[in-house]
Amino acid sequence: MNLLVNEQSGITRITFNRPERGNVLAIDDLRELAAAVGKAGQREDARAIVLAANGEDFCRGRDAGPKSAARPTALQLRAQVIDPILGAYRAIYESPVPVIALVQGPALGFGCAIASACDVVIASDRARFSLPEMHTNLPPTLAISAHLRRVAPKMTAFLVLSQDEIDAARAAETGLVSLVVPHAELEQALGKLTATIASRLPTALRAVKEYLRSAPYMEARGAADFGGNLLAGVLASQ
Amino acid sequence: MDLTTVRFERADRVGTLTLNRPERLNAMNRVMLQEINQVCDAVEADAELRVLIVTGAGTAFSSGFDLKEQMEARPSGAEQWRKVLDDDFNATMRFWSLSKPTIAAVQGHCLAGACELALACDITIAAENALFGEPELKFGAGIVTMILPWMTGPKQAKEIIFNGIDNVSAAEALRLGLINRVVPNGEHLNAAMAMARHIAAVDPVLMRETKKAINRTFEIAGMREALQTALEIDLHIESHGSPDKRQFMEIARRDGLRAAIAWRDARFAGRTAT
Repeated sequence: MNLLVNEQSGITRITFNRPERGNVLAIDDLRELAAAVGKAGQREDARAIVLAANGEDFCRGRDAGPKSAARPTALQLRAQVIDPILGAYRAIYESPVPVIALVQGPALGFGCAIASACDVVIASDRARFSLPEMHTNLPPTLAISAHLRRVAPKMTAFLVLSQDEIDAARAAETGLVSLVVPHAELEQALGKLTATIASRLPTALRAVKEYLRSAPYMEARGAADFGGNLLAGVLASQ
Repeated sequence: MDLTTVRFERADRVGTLTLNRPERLNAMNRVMLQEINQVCDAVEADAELRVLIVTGAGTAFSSGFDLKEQMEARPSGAEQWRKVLDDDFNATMRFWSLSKPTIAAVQGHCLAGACELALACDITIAAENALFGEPELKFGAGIVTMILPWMTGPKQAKEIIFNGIDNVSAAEALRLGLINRVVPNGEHLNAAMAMARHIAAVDPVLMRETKKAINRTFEIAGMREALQTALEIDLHIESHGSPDKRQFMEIARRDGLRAAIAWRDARFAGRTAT
């Protein structure tokens, strides 16, 4: 089992569980991740989803799997590789409740992008972030898409072009991380946040997530109006 | 599939979903919306099927969402209404989002939510006797899926919606760009089937990617965000409840839906600008 799923009080925790391989995830794991996030969000009592990892690493990227003999076409690549990756990002984006990443160690490539795609990232001081894909001349456009409107664009460009690793403090300065805590206090920090979230009304949490998701893509006046509509809807239903 | 409110048939790589409550003009109730989703899931998963046709049993396509059911369920408050409207919206937009082409084959009434559903299909073919429209505002309801302005011009969409026009003929609908073709009465399904067979002969991957490209054109222009905003506004309209809607529902509960519609039409008698 490369993914473990637990639920308590409306908070679903999805744990990457391949510590001996640095929590490198295969395409099937990504499909499973997207499905697990989707299912967690469907629960009527859903309040938040947590992505966490067992072992030293958060996620050292994707497991490319065995190379096929024939060179796949662009369309085959889309269906077999690219769509499942984007599907994992999209599941987080479309989740009706906030998704929190708990990053306790290195988050590389896909690992960095999936953390970035989350609404909140809590990182330990042992967390590291990098986008090393250009090492093999792969333009990490999928990972970049998960950083758009979340991480300062110049940091995203720097991570891609330099292939450098940054620490949690640096990541927090540029928007990739919400909160950095000493490694030993990571679970405690998550517990504090999830306890607060668990005591909130699902309708209010859903409105927050819906607005965070949609408003950045609306023109300014429409975004303001949409915010007003969501708030009025929640107030009227309480 | 265990279906009670729709039928589903397959022939020549084409699936046909028939809204099947002819005694109620195929009004879409909660079960029907679920079954529409169920059929769409099956079509999505079935590599053999390349096109989905949606049509109505009996004499009409559909009169829209089931008001009788709403009258009995009495949803109230934003939370209950959100569930109702999300289900309405999601079933409608399945036909837009399905990865395979969708064709609405329309005869008779195709109103309100059903009109929006027919518009959300990729192609709409109508018999001469088809009648389209959005009567919602006349009985104090709002528009769930504000897709009409994306299919025709703002003047035309506003005229239809503001006036609650519910008798747009097939010929007029064609002129407004709401539908693709008008065919003789009784021929709508044959015409849809002929086009579906043609489309089914195209490489399905090419078709899927091309539909995606066309859909993306509208989504980049903001269609999804605009529909979401309009849905949120409709939630306010419905959960607030207009006096017209309250009265309409009161009469419907007391004297039946037919009486309520007669009351509605009497209010606008002689006032329709045509």
